[in-house]
Amino acid sequence: MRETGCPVDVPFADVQGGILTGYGRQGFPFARFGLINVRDPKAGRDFIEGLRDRVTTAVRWPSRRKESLAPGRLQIERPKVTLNLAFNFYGLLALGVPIRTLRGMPDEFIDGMAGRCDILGDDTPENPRSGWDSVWLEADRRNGPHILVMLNAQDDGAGHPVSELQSLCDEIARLCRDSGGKLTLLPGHGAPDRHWQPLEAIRDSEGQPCAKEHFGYTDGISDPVFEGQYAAGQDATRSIGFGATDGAGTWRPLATGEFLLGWPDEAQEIPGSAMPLEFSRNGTFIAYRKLHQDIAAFNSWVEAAAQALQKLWSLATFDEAKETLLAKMAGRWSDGVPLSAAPTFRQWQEFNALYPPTGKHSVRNDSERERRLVDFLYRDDPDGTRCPMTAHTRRANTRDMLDPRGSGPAASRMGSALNNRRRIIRRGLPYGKDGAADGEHGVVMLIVCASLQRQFEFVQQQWINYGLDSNAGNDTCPLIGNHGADAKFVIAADPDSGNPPFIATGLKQWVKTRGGDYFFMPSMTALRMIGMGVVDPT
Amino acid sequence: MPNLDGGHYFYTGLFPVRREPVKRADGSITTPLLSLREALATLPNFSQVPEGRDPGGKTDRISPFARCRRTHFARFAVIDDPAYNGRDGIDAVKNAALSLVHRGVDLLVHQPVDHLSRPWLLFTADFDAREPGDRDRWAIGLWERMEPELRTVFGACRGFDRVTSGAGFADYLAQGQLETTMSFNDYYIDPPGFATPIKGILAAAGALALAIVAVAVLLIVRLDLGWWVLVPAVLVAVAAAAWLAYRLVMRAGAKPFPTAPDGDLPSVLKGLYLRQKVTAFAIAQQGADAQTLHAAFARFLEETRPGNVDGPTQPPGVLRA
Repeated sequence: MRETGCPVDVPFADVQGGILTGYGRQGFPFARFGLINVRDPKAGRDFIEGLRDRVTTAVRWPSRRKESLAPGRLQIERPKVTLNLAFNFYGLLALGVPIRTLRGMPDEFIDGMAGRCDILGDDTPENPRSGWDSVWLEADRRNGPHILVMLNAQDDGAGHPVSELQSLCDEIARLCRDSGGKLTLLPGHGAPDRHWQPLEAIRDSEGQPCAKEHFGYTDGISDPVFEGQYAAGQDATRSIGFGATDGAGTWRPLATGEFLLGWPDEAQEIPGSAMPLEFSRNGTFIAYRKLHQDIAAFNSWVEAAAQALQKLWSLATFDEAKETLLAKMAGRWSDGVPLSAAPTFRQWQEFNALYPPTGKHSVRNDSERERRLVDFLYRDDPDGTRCPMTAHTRRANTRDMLDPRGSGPAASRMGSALNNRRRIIRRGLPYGKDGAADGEHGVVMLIVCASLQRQFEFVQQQWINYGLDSNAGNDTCPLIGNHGADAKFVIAADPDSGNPPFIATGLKQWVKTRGGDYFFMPSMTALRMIGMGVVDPT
Repeated sequence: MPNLDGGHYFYTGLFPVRREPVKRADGSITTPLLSLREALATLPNFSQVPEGRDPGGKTDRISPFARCRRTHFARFAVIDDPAYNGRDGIDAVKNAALSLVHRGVDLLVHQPVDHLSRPWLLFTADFDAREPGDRDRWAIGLWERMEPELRTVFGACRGFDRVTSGAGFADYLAQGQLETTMSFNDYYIDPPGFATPIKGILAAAGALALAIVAVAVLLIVRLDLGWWVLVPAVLVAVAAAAWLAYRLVMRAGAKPFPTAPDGDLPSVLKGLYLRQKVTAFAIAQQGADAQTLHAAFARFLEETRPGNVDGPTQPPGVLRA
C-alpha cells in the first residue's frame, strides 16, 4: 500500500521568478539582459546585497482579471520591472564562493557553453564560434561575463517598456561605473557598444504581444509541468499534455527535481549537488543561448520547397503547400495546432472550426482547444505519416515515442523514462525585427533544467543535431539543427493518399548561435549566502 | 562461440610489454610502455573529413588497417593491471561469532592483491575468413601492407625482435592468441537459419538410454539377476543420455554460423556506397514521370554498378553514410 504524505510544496518566495512561469506570459513583453564582470569579490558581493531585496521571486501576483484576494493574506504587488540574477562558474569563483562548494558543481557548468561547443554543434563550418557576439568571446574567463542580470518589463500602454526599465538599467550601469573598475557592465551584445541585450515579444495584427517567433510559429506551447509548480491541487489537471505520460493517456506532473535542485528527480533520488544543500536547493541551471534567425534565407527556401511539394503532392494551392511544409517541419501548424491532432491542411481548418482560437495566448489546458494542443501521443503514428519523425517538436519532446513497449497493448505501455529525464523548460523572448538594418533578429532562449548535461545537452546533441532516435540517420532538426551541404528533411506520406514521400534538400543554416553560457540561478537563500559571503560547505 | 564465426575471424591476442628502458632515435631514454602509448596515440584511426576535402590528403587520418580489404575492425588497448575490487566480502555477524573462538578473519591483516607480471598489449580484430588457416594469411597480408606501423606498435612487446617476415608475424600472433569466447557479428539482418538437430539429438539420447536398459534387461534374464538391478540401470541410462545430449548440443554450438549475406567487407562498403547513391537518386528524381525515371535509373545502374563489389564503392577507413 502506498502511503500518501504531504504534497510537494515548493516555497515560491525562495525560488527566483521566471522559472515556474515565463515572464512573457505574465504581461512582461520586454526584457534587457546584461552581463557583469567581477574583478573584486567584495565589490561583487556588495552589488548583490544592494539588489537582493528587489530580486523577483516566484510568489504569485494576483491575476489582473481577478484582483480580489482572500482577506488577511499579504498582497503582493506586481512589479513594473522584474529583476533576476544568475552566475556562471567563473562568476561564483570571482565572488569568493568556496572551492569546496564549487567542486560540487557539474562539469558542464564549469566548462561553460563555449567549452561544450563540440557537443552542442556550436562550432561547425556552418555555425562557427567566430560568429558569436564579442561579449562572449573573451578567452580569459576571468575577464568575461560573470553575473547575468535579467530585467523584464511591462508595457507602458503605448508599446514601449515602462520607464522604470531604463532607470534600473541606469542604476546598474552607475553601480558598475562607480566601482572603480571592480565591476564592469560588459559591452558587445550584437554591437560593440551595446551594454544590454534588448528583447521584445513579437506583436500580433492588433498590436498585442504574442507568443510568435520570427519564422512565424507559435512558440513555447508545451513546457513541462512538475510537482509543486502550481498551487496545491492543480498539479493533476495542469499536467495533462505537459507532464509525464504512462503511454496510455494518463498524465502526471514530472518530479520537482528535474527542474529545481535539492528535490527528488525522475530517478527518485536527490541528485548530487554543490554543498551545503541549502546553497543548491530551489536553485537551478540556465543555458543562455542567443540564436540568430536568418529570416530571409528561411522564407526563400520555404517558398521554393513549398512549390516542389505542391507539385509532387498535387496540392490545390500554394498556400496549402507552404502551410503544410511549415507544419511538417515544426510538428505544429503556425497557430500551434499539432499535426497529431490535424495531420492535413483540411483537418487543420476543421480543427479550428470546431475549436476556434480564443485570441488569448494562454498555455493552460483549461479549454478544450488548449487541451487538444498538448494532449496527444505518437503511438498511433509510428512511421511519422502524420507528424514526421524528425519534426522539431517531435524531436524536442518525444512524448511516448521511445516507449520500449509502445507497440504493445495499452496495458503494457510504460511511457518513456528516457523522455521524462530529458525535459527542459524554455523561457526567453525574441529580439530584433525582421529586416532590421543591423541584421539583429532571433531569440534569446533560456533553457532551465536541473542537469544541463543530462537534459539540455542531450536534447541538443542527440535529438536536435542527430537523428538516430528518430530512425532518421544523421538528419538534423529541420528548423534549428545544423545544416551542412547534404542536409535533408524527409516528409513521410500517408500511403492511403497515394503521394510519394517528399525529401526536402538544400536546407540552410537558418539558426546560428550568437553566444551564451551556462548559469546557476540560485534560490533567494543561496543568493543571500553568496551576497553575504557566508557559503559554508563544511 | 569460436574464433571463426559467420564468415568472420575474431582474433584476440595479448602481448607482454617489455620493461627495460629503451633509447630513442634522438638519444633520449624512455620505457617501452610509454613509447607504445605514443605509437598508439599517433596511429591514425579513421577519417572523417568534411565533404569536399580530399580523403587521404594532408589533413586526413586514414587508418593503416584500411589498406587491407578484409579487416572490418581492429583495436589496440594497453592493460596495465587488474583493477582492485577491495577485500573479499564477509558476513560481519558470522565473522564476529567466529572471532569469539579465534576463527574469524582478522580485518587488520592485509589480504593479497592481484597484479599482472607486466603491462600487456591487447590486440583484437575482426576480418573476413572462411577457415581457421585464414588467420595466418591475414597476418601475412597485414605485414605486407603496414609493416612500419606494426613495428612501431609491437616493437614494445617481448619476442617481437625475432619477427622478420610476414610468416614470422603470423607466428607471433598465433603465440599471443586467446580464444575469442564471445564474438559479435553485426551483419545478420535476419536471424541465420538455426539447423540445430534437436529431434536428432533427442532421438540419439533416447536410443542410448533404451539400449542401456535393454542390455540390463537381457543380463537380468540371462544371468537371472534380481529385477532390482533395473533401478541402477535406468539411472545410468538417464545419465548417459543426458551426457550424450550435452555433447551433441555443444558440438552443434561449436559449429560456426555460415557467412552472413553480404557480410564481407567489400559488400559492406558497396552497401554503404549504394545507400548514399540511392538517397541522392531518390531526391533527384522526385516527381519524375515514368519514362524519365526509367532512363535515369538505367544511368544510375550504369554509374553505380550495384552487382560489382569492387567498384565504384566507398573507400575503406572513411566515416561517411
